[in-house]
Parts: sequence; structure tokens; C-alpha cells
Amino acid sequence: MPSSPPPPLSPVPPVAQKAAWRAVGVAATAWFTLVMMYQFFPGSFVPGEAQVDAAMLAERTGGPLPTPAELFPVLPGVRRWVAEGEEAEGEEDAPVVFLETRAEGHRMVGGETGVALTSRRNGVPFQTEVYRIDARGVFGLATGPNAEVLLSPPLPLLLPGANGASVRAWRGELVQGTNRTPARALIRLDGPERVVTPAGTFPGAYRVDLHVQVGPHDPTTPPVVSTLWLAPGAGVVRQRAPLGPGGRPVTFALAPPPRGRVE
Amino acid sequence: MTPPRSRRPGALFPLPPFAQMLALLLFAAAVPLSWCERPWLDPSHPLSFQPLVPLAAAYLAWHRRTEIWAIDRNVVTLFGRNGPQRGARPWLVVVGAGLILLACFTKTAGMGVLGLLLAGAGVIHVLRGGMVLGALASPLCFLLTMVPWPDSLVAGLTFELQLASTAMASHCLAAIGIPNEVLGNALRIGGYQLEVSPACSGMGIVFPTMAAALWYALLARARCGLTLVLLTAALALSALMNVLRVAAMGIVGEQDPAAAERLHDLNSWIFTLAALGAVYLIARYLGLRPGGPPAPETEEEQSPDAPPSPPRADLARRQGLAALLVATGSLSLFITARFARAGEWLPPLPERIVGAGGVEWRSQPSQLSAQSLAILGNPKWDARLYHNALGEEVAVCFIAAGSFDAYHDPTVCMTGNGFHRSAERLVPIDPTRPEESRQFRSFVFRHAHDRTAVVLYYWLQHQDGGTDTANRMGTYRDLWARLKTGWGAVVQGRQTVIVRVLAVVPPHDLESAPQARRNVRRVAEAVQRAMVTEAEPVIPAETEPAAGAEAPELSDAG
Repeated sequence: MPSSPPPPLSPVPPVAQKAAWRAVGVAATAWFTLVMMYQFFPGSFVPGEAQVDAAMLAERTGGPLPTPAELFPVLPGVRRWVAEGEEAEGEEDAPVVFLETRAEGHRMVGGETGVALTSRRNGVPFQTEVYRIDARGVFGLATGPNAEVLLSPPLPLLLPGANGASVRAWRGELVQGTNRTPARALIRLDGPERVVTPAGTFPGAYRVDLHVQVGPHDPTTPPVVSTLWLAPGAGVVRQRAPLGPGGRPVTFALAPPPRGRVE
Repeated sequence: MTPPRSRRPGALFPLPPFAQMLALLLFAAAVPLSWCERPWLDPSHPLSFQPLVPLAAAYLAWHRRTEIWAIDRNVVTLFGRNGPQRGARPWLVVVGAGLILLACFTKTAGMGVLGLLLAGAGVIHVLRGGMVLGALASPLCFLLTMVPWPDSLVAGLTFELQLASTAMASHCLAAIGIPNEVLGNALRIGGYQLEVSPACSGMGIVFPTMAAALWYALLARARCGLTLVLLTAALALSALMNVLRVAAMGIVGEQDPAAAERLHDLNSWIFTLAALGAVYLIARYLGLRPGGPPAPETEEEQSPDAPPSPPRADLARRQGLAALLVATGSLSLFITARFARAGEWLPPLPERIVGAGGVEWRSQPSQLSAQSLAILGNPKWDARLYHNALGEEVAVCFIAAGSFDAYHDPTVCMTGNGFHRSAERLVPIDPTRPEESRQFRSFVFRHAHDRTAVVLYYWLQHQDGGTDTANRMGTYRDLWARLKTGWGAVVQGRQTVIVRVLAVVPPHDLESAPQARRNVRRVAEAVQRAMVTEAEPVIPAETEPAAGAEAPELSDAG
């Protein structure tokens, strides 16, 4: 007598079981593939950032430097800068949205002749800086709304041959009329690195850090920190300065000129 | 005449044969098993359920004892005690022992435990035959769930589950009208912020629940299809339970943060039990019941009071297996001792690094947490935090490579801390000779939430001046590199220090990441040179300042 087939172990119909099988297989395969991709190619999940980081790791350190005049050329016309990131928006204290700088020709300050660069903040003039640029380097001569504060001796912003292994110290005075205020500064040039701005990408830019302390020396007082990124032939392409509300640092990137070229 | 039980010919020690072989197996795999201390004894670790697996497997075997004994007796009755069904060659034990030794060379706990299971199966195969081994297939297969997973895989899955649980819990809370905000692996509900830590990722619920589902399916002798359905249900249910757990913690925490802290440990047990209960109900719904076919009839019943005396051939097999297992255990202890010797070298970290151009990096000692040191196998170590005149910082850490725990790969430990590897590159130590084989392994890690960047240089510095960068302690992809390290430490007596040089770039200053990389690079170069030459570490100037440059009141920064 033929034996009857055993009763099914499960009340789930075979068709449903088969469909569930397939769904489980597809889901497991997809999940496994994603996990493996994340394990082996994590950068592919954040492509922009990963490429920037990979390029950074590939950059050389040190090497031959451009001359100060190449890094700090005096370019004619107006250069416009836009604030990067959230600093440009939503602030209550009239945030600095853009800067403009213009080379105003030569000016004599403290017995020396330099190039005057005037800056406008949100369209309002606020600072003039005078630099001496020659074969011996780039030196800051004066600063202030009308360049009335002299730096004595001149502050060496860039020196030929100075490199990433060096931090230069400057000790001098800020002279305004008969007032003389002691000041100290640390300057470092380092690079190269890749800088991306709305005006273009500058792969061989150099970074200049400037830490300034004004007044009697006090190690506990934090310095005023400014940073410039200089590209050979293009000059300053990015700068960070404490121009935000409450002295918060704001980064400005070089914007393209209205007619598609740096004026 | 029956000899006394303790002096019968089959006894190697005054222990039952089963206990003898078990003791020898545990001795052979003692070193790999000792590495499992951290995952098995830490209640918050996802693999902390694994010590219970042997008990569950033993219950599976006990549940089928009648069937197994019947097969054993039938084999003896049909083929005799020395018939072709017994006395197989111990190739499975040899493979298991080989895996245990390979695991000791490469410090892979999973391989060691797998070797133990293979050797155990081999012992059964040799002493009881293939048919008994086949009857024990289910418990032996279930024992595979006690094989530890690679750290990197557990860390990666934990991180993924952390983010997924946080996002799902956020949706749940929003669905019931509780506004909340997701911040990476944290939930902000009103004024309360709930961080979904690795322990709350849900791995501690998913793993034991799936193991329990597999165990129940084996107990019920479920077909493959039903087993897969049950495992899938277990995965989904345990993930769901963890989402509910996080959401419940958020609701309680918003009302009373202190109560949420008190409930934190308790609710893990509650929701794990709830997941297990739900899986049990689904198994019952699928018609799975413990039980199985009746045991085959035996040809001959034997009295339990009169155990057969093993003949000489059986004793020889036992002695051979014992010798093999003892040799394996002894060799693994020897390998461990050689690794400990390899971790004796630890050169001092320089207190200051002076750059020829004026950069000076001063340092102060820094600390590693007891937890980190425990993860690294409590090696000899030194750590310092260097800072320059501009206030930039670079951290350096030396770890003596006394065991493979010390090789904890950056990709593993950073992932466990919420970072992912954004970029990795091998860079030559001497940039003027890029063809040279001595290299740093450089990384950029990014935090998943706030994009904090960590720039890290990593390499292995041998006392003989050589370096290495290959990945260890990552996944099984690094087996060759691990074998090289094992060979160097055990056979060649090579002593090694693992060096990490890193800088953290906070999210508000990410544009300083290239500068941080240069700082890390220069400090790494100086430290590497100091380790090789044991001289004053001086960073060479890439270019010297031009003579005659005007530098009024200029002095080197100190």
C-alpha cells in the first residue's frame, strides 16, 4: 500500500515560501554588496570630500618656492571676495558678505615707498595697507583706515627662501603720531596646497599664517590670527580674518571678475 | 576479569575518554581562546552571547542522544569496533591543529576557534567514525556561531546599525508626534540628547537573536527554506526591537534624563528577551516544534554498567591524537612567548623636535586610556603631544608590538569611534627617493556627523631600521601581512614599534587640513629619523633662507 505524503510542516503555501526565499536572497545580496562597497571603497560614498582628501595626501611638502614678488604681485583693478560658508548668512550684526581690494598706486610712509591696497567691506571703505615689494621680500609698512598706523620696523610678510620649516618672529611697534604701542608677530609661509575658489582652482597655493599681539607682551592673551593663501601670479586667492561678529574669523575666497578675468 | 576503571588500557589520564579529549582540545586551542576574553566577557559586546553557544550545542546533541547512541552501536555491531567505519586518518585534526597554529602566527581568534571546532570534529571522526560525525552535524554546525567575527567587520556593521537605528527611531518618534532632530548617531528631543552608542547599535540584540533562531530551527529540524525565513524574521525583529528601544529611551529621557540612564542597561535585556519571544512565536506559527524522527533500532543493546574496554588500536589512536594536540598547544604557547619578546623594544619619544629653519616642536607626555590599552593587549607604550609656536598640535604614539592586539589598525579603531576612512595613500618616507620601499601609510578620517578630520600617519618601525605599512588587525584580507609579522617575530626575533602620528582638524577649521597634514608629515619624518639614528631629531630645511635678506628684529620663534 503506498504511504501517504507527510503533512506539511508549515501552513505557509509553497508559493509564498518561494517568493519569500527570493526576496530574502535579493535583500541579502544587496545589503552585502553595499556593506562590502562601504568597507572597500568608503570614499565612493562621499565623492567630493574623498577626492579632496585624496588629493591632499598626494601633495608634496616643501620644495622650491616661488619668489615673494610672484606670490604677491600687484594686480591692477578691483578684486572682489565673497565670504564662504554660513558666516555670510543669518547674522544679526551686519555680516561681512564681501570685500573689495584695489591697488591705489605708490605711497610714501615712514620714509619708505610702498604700494597701497585699499579695502572696502560690504561697499564701505575700512582699511588701507601699504606694502613694500622688492627683491628682498614683501614687507608691511602701514595699516589702518587711511594707513596712518606705521609698522616699525616693517613687518616681513614674505622673505625669499623662507619655507615651511620656518616660523619668523617680528617684534616692533605700531606708531600713530606720537603714540607707540609694542607689538609682536609670528609669520609662517608653508605649502603648497590646492585652493578652490569661485575664481578658479589654484593647485600650487601657499599659506601664510600671521599671529599678531598688540600691547605689552602677555603669553595668556590670544593673538589676532589672520591667514592668507597666495598663488603664484595670482596673489591672494583666499584670506581668513577676524571680521565676523564678535571678531569671529570669516574666510573670503576670490570671486571671478565681472568680465571673466582678474582685473 | 575486568580491570579497574581508572587503569583500563584506554585511559591516558584518570578521566573519562570524552573529558580527556576535551581537555586536550582546550589545551591545544588555549591561546586563541584566551583572545576571546574581551568579546566574550564584556556584556555590551555584540559577541558576548558566544560563550553560551557550546551549552546550546550540547543541548542539541543531548536532544539527539538516542539517535546518536543508536548509530554508534549499530556501527559497532555491523562493522566491529575496528571496522572500516572507525579509525579514519586524523586529517581533520591535522587541519584543525594547523589552523590553530596559523591563528597563533597571525593572531586571528576566529581562525583559532574554527581550528578548535575542526579538530574536535576530527577527534569524533577518528574515534567514533563518520556516521556518528554525521549524526552530530547539527550541533557542530551550530558551534560555528561561536567563531568570533573580524573586529573591522563588527565595527563597520555596528556603525551602520548605529546610524540606521537613530534614523529609524527618529521616524518612530515623529510618527507619534514627538519632534526630534537627528545629529549623526544622536537624537535631540527637546532639551535631551540621546547618543546611540555602539552598545545601543542593536548588534547586541541582532546576533544573539539570530543565533537563537538558528538553534531553534536546528532543534526543530526545520528545512533550509524555513530556517532562512526564520533567520530573516529574527534579523528584522531584532532590528525593530532596537529601534523601539532607542525610541523608548528618547521618550523617557525627555521626561527624566536620570531615569533614562538608570534604565539604559536594563532595557537591553528587556528588548532582547522581547525579540527572542517574538522569534519563538513566529517559529511556532511556522509550525516548528522541537522533536524529530525516532532513533533507528539498534541491533544489540548493551548494558550501561559494562562499558566495553577499548582495544589496543583504540588506545593507539587516542595516544596519537593526544600527542598531536599537546604539540599544537605547546607550539602555540611558544609562539606567544616569542611575540612577547618582540614587544620589549620601545625607544623613547624625543621631548623636542627642532627645525633648522626655526620651527620648534615642544612636547608634553600624553595619556592613553586604560580601555585603549586593554584593546591593544596592554603593551609597552609612550605618547606625547607636540605643539609649535603657532599653537598647532601633533600627537605621537609608540606602541611596542608585543602581540597582534597592538597592531589594531587605524581603520578599525577610528571606525569604532564614528569616523570613516575618507582617503588613504602610501607616501615615501624620503620624498627625494620616491622609489624607495620605506613608506608611511597616510590617512584622512572624517567624522560622520560633524566632518571633523583626522590626518594620521602610521607605520611599523623595526629595530633593524626597516619599516612596514601593511594592514593588520583589519580583516582576513591581511593574512599575508600577518604571516610576515608572525614569521619576523617568532622565527627571526624581530622587534617592532607601531607608530601613529596624527592631528585633529576641528569642523570650524577644515581649511587647515592641508597644514595639519604638513605638520604631521614633518613630525613623522623627524620621529622616524630619531628612531633609526637615536640622534637629536632635526627637520631638514627644504630651502635655506637667502643670504642678505632684510630681517629687522627678526629672531627664530622659540
